[in-house]
Amino acid sequence: MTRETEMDRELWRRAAEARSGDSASAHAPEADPLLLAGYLDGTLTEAECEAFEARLAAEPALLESVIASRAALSEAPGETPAAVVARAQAIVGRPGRVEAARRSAFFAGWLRPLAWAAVGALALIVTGAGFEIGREGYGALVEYQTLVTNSVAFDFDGPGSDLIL
Amino acid sequence: MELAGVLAGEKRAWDAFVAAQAPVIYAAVGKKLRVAGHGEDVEDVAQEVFVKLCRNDFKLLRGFEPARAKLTTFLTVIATTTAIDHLRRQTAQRSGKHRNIDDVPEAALSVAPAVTDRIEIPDGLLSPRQALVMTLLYDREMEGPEVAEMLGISAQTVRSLHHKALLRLRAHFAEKAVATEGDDSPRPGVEHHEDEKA
Repeated sequence: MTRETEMDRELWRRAAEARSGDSASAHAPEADPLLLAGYLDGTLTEAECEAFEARLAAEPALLESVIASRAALSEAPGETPAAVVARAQAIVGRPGRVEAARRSAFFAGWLRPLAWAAVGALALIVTGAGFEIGREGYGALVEYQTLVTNSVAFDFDGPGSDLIL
Repeated sequence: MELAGVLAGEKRAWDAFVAAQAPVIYAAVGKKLRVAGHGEDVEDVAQEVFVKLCRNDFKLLRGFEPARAKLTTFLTVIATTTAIDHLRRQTAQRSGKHRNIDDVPEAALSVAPAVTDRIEIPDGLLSPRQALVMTLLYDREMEGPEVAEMLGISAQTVRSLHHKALLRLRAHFAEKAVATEGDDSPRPGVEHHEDEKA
């Protein structure tokens, strides 16, 4: 390295120290990933690009993100372990669960009053039927008792009076 | 890649998205972590990236605009910054755990005022691109062709930007040296700054 280059490096180091004392920080606010990606893809306007490069010169953290992203993009991605894919896919729920949740929501919605109405109607039918059966049963019992009483009375008064009750 | 289905929360669309983009995310995370000696964390950090993408109803993915960048570039940026954040957290945890008074250099414990030289460079002395070229060459110690590739410009343009930046800096400090000649200041062009360390 020539003496001149050494001096230039030292000059820049001092200038950089002054800048870092003023505003630059290793923990600058996170940059918008779309802005950073746009810079890497070369889609920013001239003004956006100039403003972004001014930030890069002043924010070491942002510059590190750009350099590392550029390096990552320069290599073709290899294979990903199946477990990594499966684990990431599991973050969003399975359709079965979603369907079940949708079904339960459906029943919890407008069908619920209908279900209660059906239960009520069934209760009425059962009660009515029970009452009817009960009433008919009582009537039959009265008829039978009447018939029995009449028979006994007939036998008691008639020729078969030897019948012991 | 159809993002609409993913943003609508469709499981099938999400599965297809993960299958297609996992290699990009896994490679970006792996590239950063393996170099730093944290290869064993790659799977967990890749998962962290996917969780980040789903967070707040896919807020990050909703911010993507195909006209502004490629999806692979966008995802690479998110994966890389997540890996960098992970490394910073690890470093912070380690330094927090193992910080011992005996390991701290004597100078850092000193209560005497330290005198540091500070140079003032006015805003606008260098263009943003010139300042960036200087940063990459001197702070990051990158070679000219690397800087050219990084900025998407020719190596000759890098040399030109570097040369012009140096001329401006030298001229600026030469002017300051002349202006301060005869002053009591012990070093021309340099402002002494007292910084009291606690």
